[in-house]
Amino acid sequence: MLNHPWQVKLIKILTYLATILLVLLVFWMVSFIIIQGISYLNMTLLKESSSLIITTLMVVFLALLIALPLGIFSAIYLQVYTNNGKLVKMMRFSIDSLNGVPSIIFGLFALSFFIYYLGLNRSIFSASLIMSIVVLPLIIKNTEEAIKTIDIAQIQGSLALGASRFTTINRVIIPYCIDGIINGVILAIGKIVGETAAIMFVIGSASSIPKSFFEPGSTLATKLYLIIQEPTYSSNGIGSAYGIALILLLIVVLLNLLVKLVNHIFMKRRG
Amino acid sequence: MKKYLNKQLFFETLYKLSIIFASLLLLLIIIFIFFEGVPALKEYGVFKMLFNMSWQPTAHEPSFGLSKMILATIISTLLSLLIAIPIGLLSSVCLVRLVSRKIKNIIMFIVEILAGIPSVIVGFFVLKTIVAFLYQHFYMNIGVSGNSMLAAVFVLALMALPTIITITVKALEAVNPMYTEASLGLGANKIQTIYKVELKAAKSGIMAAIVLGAGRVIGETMAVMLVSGNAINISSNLLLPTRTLTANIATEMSYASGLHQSALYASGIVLFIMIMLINITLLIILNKGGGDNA
Repeated sequence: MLNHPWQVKLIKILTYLATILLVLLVFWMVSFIIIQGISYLNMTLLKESSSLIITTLMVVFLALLIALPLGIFSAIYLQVYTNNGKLVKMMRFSIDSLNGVPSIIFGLFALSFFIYYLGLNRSIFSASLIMSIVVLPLIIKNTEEAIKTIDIAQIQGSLALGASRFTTINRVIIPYCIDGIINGVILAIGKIVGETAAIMFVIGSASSIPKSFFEPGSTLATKLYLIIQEPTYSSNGIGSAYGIALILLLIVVLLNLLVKLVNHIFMKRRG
Repeated sequence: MKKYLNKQLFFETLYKLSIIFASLLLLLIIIFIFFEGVPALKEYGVFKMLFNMSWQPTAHEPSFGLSKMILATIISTLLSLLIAIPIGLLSSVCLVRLVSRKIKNIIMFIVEILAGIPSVIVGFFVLKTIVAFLYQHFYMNIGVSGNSMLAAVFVLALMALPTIITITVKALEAVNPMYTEASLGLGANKIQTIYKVELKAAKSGIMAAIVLGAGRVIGETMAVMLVSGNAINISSNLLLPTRTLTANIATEMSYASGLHQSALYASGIVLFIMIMLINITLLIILNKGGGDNA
């Protein structure tokens, strides 16, 4: 293989073609959603989806409120306090595996544990609980990656100056890895906003603006799924689905741009 | 000082409790999925559940055979990887070695967008384009919709691509430049060096990429459910509808009760075991190949 010039040329062409195909596929999908959705992006849709947007924000807020401290503390423990013993390896395997668990399994677990076992209602609260578990590995991983990039001399310097491990964490480690934490949060928001399978059994469904966390609700993604399956769920039929899909797409693009912006700002600060 | 030490002790305990809690979550999930699924496995029989072809959960004499759906999951995964692996590997090579840094960053951003697009939207897109196309050209005459295994494979390939590309790109970037220089120095050209030296050096990373891609594909639910037609069917004709394990759970959970519900949890157990096998494979690959790129 690859001994003749024509073979080399062929492989080179295939390599470029694959990349072009990839870009075209994404471009096709994004432009399809934009073109179909733009005409439905009006006041009617905003009125219809205001409760969905508020519900989605509530789930994002509560899930992060739980997952963020838990994730950051776990990452600190894994990076600062442990050696690479057997127990730590098992903890890592467990958290890595949690990251690979399909969302429908989270959905099954949520129904069994929160609804049947703990007796919670189908509500925004239950959905936030399961989403906090779904995004936890994401936050741990991102925080850990950021801690790993700290120059060991900075930590040693802090310790040598007489600072305790605790002070070193507070004054050196956390301020330094704030960008990794922010990245984790942004990715987590993206995951929560788009998630359907993990919460569909526990969030219930509603079309009015929720008054508390303990009411059932519909997020943008769960409602989108319902409308695609059964267009009569919305007064505008399948048109609302295109509109909501466009809103979700815009959120995803914005969040990804935000990651770039954060990295850019902190890259400068780190020099 | 005492107050300070108390605070320190408090936080250290907090860190420790957090990590213990986080690592016990997986166990908690396993316990509850098994707790709900075991009754059906016991009553209907593990062997029968895995190998019986018939799934009729609401019949008078219900049967809970999962084999058609297990096959659908395995076949759709393999076929979608057959599409996603060549496209993913070739474009990763292109990104790392053949294009400028600027173009690479732009395309990587596009890949990140693809990774971030919710699966419902990917399913919706394929439903309105590919499935509609199939309907117009192949199905109109026989009067069924275009929802099919083929559409599911297409959706799954789209979902696997970002995972495969991001990890392969990282693996290729980590290849020791000495290998590359040695190969070029021996007179191999750029393409020969990439495909004969660098891809081999990055082998373990690429394997990890494929395995993780497979994990993502096996667990995919919403997108598949929208386009697969959701009829329990397995056939060599890819234009016919099918139903995967995940879609089965998501479709029937809303109205299932009793043994039927337990059987759905049992299919969750099967899915979970498949994913854990993948995770363990991954662990083995990474442990074995750890020194490759050093």
